[in-house]
Amino acid sequence: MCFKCEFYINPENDIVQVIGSMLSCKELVGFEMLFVSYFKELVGKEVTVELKNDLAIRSILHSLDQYLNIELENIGVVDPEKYPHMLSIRNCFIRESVVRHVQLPPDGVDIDILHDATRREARGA
Amino acid sequence: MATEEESAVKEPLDLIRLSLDERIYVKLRSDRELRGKLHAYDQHLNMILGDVEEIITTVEIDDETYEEIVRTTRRTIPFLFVRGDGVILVSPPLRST
Repeated sequence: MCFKCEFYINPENDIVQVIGSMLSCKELVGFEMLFVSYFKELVGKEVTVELKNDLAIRSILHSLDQYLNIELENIGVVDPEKYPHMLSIRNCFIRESVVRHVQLPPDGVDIDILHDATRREARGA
Repeated sequence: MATEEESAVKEPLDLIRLSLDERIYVKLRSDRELRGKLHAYDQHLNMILGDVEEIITTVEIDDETYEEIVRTTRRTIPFLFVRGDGVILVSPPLRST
């Protein structure tokens, strides 16, 4: 738990909870949390998650945990004709290991903050 | 002293640190290549790239002649998170380009 950004992992469900802005918090050196904190700031924004089996899902990012498992709500499959069985699914949980990449909103997080957070992480790791 | 420490390459990941905010080349599994500006990375080689060009190479076999047809698909993505487990290699920017 960091008192500056009020970040902690809830011991009951392992879910990372943040109250302040974690990316700019200097107490998190070497915490290996760079991408978790980055994605936390994107909660509520639209992302496109592309899986290793080429399935791409566009949806609002609902939540994620410390492993970068992702929960999406009201999902839309990018190529519904190829994956008709996905049409009946509205909400889903994606295991981190099957993600290939995630297309992000370009206005999500300040680039300079991201660079600083990366350098801090590189020093700490 | 501080700048010397910043630019010293002691371990492979230092090379990637020096490529921050530069255009890099990333080769991924399943014949995918990316070129983009490196905005963030971690020790797993998870990365965030900006202005990405993705090149996907697929090989099809012609039904009649059994010749291999190589196709490349290109697409651009403004901002992309790449999961580190698919990364094969990362190359810093080329001085000549």
